[in-house]
Amino acid sequence: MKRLLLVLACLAVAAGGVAGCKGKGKAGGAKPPILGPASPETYKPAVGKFGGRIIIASLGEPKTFNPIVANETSSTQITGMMWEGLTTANPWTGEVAANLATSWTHDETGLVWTVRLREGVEWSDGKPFTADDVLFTYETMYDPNITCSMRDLITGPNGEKWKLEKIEDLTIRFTLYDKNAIFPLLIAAQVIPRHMFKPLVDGGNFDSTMSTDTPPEQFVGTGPFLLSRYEIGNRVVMKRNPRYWQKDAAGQRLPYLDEFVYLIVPDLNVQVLKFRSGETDLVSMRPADFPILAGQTGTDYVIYRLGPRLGSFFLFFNQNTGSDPQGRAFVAPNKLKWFRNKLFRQAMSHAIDRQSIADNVFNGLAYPQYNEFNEVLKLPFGAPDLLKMEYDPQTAKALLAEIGLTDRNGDGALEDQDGNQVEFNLTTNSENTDRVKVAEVIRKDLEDLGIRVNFRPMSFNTLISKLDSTFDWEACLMGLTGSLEPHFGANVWRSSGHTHMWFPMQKTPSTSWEAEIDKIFDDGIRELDEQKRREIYWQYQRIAAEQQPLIYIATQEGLVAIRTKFANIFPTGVTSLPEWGVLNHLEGIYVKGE
Amino acid sequence: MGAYIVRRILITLVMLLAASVLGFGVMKLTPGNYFERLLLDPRVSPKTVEREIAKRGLDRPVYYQYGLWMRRLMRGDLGASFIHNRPVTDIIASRVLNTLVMNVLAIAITWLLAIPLGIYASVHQYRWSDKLLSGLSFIGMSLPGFFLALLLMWIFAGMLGILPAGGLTSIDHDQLSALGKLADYAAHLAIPVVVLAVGALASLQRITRGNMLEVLRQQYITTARAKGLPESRVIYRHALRNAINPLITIFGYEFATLFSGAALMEIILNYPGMGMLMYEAIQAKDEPMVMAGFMMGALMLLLGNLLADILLAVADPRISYQ
Repeated sequence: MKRLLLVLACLAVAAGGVAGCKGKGKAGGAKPPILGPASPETYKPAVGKFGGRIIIASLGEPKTFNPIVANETSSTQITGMMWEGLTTANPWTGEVAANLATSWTHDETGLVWTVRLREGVEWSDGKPFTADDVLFTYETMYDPNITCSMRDLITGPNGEKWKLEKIEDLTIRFTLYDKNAIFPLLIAAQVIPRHMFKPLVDGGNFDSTMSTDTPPEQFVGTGPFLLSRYEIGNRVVMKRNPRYWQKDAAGQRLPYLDEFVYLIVPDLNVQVLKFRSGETDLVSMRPADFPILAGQTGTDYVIYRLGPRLGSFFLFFNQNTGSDPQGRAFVAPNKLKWFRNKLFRQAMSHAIDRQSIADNVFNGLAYPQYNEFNEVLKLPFGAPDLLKMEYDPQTAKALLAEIGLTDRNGDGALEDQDGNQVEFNLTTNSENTDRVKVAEVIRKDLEDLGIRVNFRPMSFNTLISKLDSTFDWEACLMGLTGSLEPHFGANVWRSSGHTHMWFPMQKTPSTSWEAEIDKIFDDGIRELDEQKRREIYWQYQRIAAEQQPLIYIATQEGLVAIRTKFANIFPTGVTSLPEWGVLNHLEGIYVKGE
Repeated sequence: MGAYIVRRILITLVMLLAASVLGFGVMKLTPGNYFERLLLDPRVSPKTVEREIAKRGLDRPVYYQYGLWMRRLMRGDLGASFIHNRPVTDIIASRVLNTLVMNVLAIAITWLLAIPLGIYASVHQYRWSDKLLSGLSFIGMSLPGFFLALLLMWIFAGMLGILPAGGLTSIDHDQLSALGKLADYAAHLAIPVVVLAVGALASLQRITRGNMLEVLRQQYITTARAKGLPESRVIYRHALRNAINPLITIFGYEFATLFSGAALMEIILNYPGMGMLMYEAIQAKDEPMVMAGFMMGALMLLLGNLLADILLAVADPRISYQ
């Protein structure tokens, strides 16, 4: 027994020694280079070499491989490699570009679109890709028995549908029920093979037969990679599609990589560990991981700082004037009066020290955000010269005094005209530790003004049911994934929308500015002229900047490390998933030779 | 004994029914449902969500839903998972073996080490070896499993690079020889099994030691020694036989955990076991999955207790269930 312990002790010492040596060995090299995003003009892929693979970690595992049903990123990032849409969005600007279609034009009414498909595209089983596949795809999306979140975007308020006609093998006419400026973007929806999937749809349980236990051979696609195997809970292996239609400058069929491997790693710490131990080739890191990975020496990776990512994160107040079935108001009347007052919301916006949140909560790797489209990104749809409610406690104090919220009894806290102390409950989902930290900073900022904030984080499910059905909340901190296309936020901004967070599903708009925004979104989607359309959307951003229904806080920086052996990397920061910002144009990425 | 077992099994069925009512009720008391969270996506309409909810009967009264679930269960159908759109039984089947292998190995290591160590410590009470074991046990008990998992991964995967950082197999697993496959599994199982074993080992070792000390103070031990029996016979025949009963009860509980995973550790080690599956299901409120996991846990616990009671009767002639 004594001997065993001795052996154990020796082993421990030896382990420490080896680790120590290895640490010293590394000390010689340089730190990894830190680069910014590429610009669209620099996108000039070189002719690469075939072979090799890339391994990346994914937080969640795919729930389905069905491109019609898939609605969350761990599934869509895989279906997105296997199937492609008629169009695609430019990774830097969001402009629509050709993909399986080469042209899309509308007639003078703007209702009839003629789409020409690319010649010579083949499904991975060798069958030609034709208009029938496109017709079948839309038929499937409109099938009421199939779960499909895309359907809502292509269905009118009274259930109107698009009409599709095949003109020739490679030409389709779409007849819309109303003008739709984002038609070219909507047809980026993935097209599925009729010859493979028709029997499944006809069989009646398309939703479940195409789930994660379907044999990989059934997944016939047009995309650069195909499913090779799925080891449940462990990894997804994608293999090169030898019939992919894109070619490089030398006329060789892409993609260059043989395999794309997803490891399912649900813990972010372990994702970093796996990257450091060389098990993965790319990692999207949190601000806290940045100093660790950037401080390593003698490494074989580069780090991209991609600037603010898409997606927003905001504070908002309950402006719901309704009451529950028992007749109790959702929000106490005195508080509702503050929350519905734009000066109150402006004061709150001025009171928040966004820079200090970016510095303290996100290690300085975040950008203060004042409006929906972060001005740092200079996006085409982002309005120029918007009002910015910068940190200024004096202005905040003055605004609050203007609506009668002052310290009336000298206790340091603010009271309203009727002597009610100014206080409210703030909530967020407790699972998101960053949000919880931000809420703490906001609480302190407002406390300095004499406002009491009771911070009560709750579970995501509880929060959602409060926001969606019981409406008994006061202030909330929440985030949404962003998009380059403002119309995708229509349900947030329209007063009738269910994600019009501060007062959802209104029968008629409760304020004149909400009515104005409703009209802007109705006009915007029907304006086919790009420049005019931009200006229409600038207007709602100006209204939102003044009214502050959503008080934007900060955007995190996209931070990705990738091994230097990969070439043709042209990163963009304009994405909500930074790893995909780095891997855009995945088909062109290759492994450099020695 | 036979009659007793039959009676116990009948009671088990009643207990399972009660547990199912309780589990179902508690799950329904928590706010929200799986499909409501889809509403947070501005592109999904409330109509779509309503349709999904109605399709699965989630808008019906709770007793109706329970009846529906029970009727399906009677036919051996646990329903389809909301998240994965696949039968719950399929999903559980794909994971349960991983968990079983990990738990069996961990339990085997725990028992094979803990009992000898416990006996050794009790025989050498207050010597330096006993104190060292006590110290190690306290460290083992107070180290949270997830922390130990991270620590081991940091040392063996991050610094030394001799073990993989989590997972179940390596990417090239399919190309390996049979022996290579076995070695690959072993390398991946090493950290999770050690982590699970360390925590259990520490407490089991302490319990064995405590029980042994209790028995060693008895007069019949003194008698045995006085009549000149060899020390090994005193310890293993007279003392251990009497000290083992509480351990059998503990074994019953351990049996119950065979199929239930260690969620936190599995997440850290991205080990595709039951814990991760259930954690995800509970978070998302994937009701058929949660109920299946819950019922499986309840069944194993009841069976484990039964097993322990039977083993007690076998090990100790003083216990009888007539």
